[in-house]
Amino acid sequence: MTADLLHTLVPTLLAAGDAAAHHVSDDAAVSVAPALLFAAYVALGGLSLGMVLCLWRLVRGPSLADRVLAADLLALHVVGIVIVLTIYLGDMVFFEAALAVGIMGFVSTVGFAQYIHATAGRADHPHGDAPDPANVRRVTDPAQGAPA
Amino acid sequence: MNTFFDILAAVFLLAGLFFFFVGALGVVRLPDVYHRLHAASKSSTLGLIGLLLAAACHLGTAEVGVKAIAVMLFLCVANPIGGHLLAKAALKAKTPQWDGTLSDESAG
Repeated sequence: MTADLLHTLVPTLLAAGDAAAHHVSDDAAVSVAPALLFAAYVALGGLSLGMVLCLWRLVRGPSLADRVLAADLLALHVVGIVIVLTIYLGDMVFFEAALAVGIMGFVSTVGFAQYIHATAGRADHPHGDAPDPANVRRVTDPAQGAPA
Repeated sequence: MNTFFDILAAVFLLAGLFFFFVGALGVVRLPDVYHRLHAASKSSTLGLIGLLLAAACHLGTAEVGVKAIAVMLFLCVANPIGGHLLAKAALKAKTPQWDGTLSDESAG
């Protein structure tokens, strides 16, 4: 059953990808000035570097609010990369994705903020705030059992 | 004329990249959650507005202009709301503040 589904689905998806790629390359009729092309490359590199910085904060961030704001900024970086790709390809196909990713990032931020607000100070919902080492051990390693 | 708009788009693109990069750098370098929210919400709004203006200048159609304005309006509403909610939640959860914080009006 699953194998049948895969055998029908995968070629369909591959064909759709080919069609989309040809659509983009055929429609990319808008010429790009060399200065703008250079700026687009620089922007892609800079946005990727910014995503790495956000990811570092997402992994490191001592509190849950740090991680949520890093994820929000990461989503906005994705929107920025989609816009730069729109300029680079000269095609509108990906522009809808910008608004969609932006809305999803905003909604997830609001949801996490409500979660932090509702569970503040509750021992059964630790937020990863790490003021003392005992709390860190309890949060990160439940296998050791609850501390005395 | 087309080249002029492309160079204008390149300027907007680099300005947006500057704001985005400053925001990411601030999120990594600033000392506590409230400072990091300050860096993340404002600079990313400005950076995305720059990138959208660049796209509108380069493509130059009414379709992309209208969509860019829609995304800008959404950002100008959504980003401050998200930052404000997150800061309020962090205050409620008593997320630690930087030692150099001068005043805390929520301390009461």
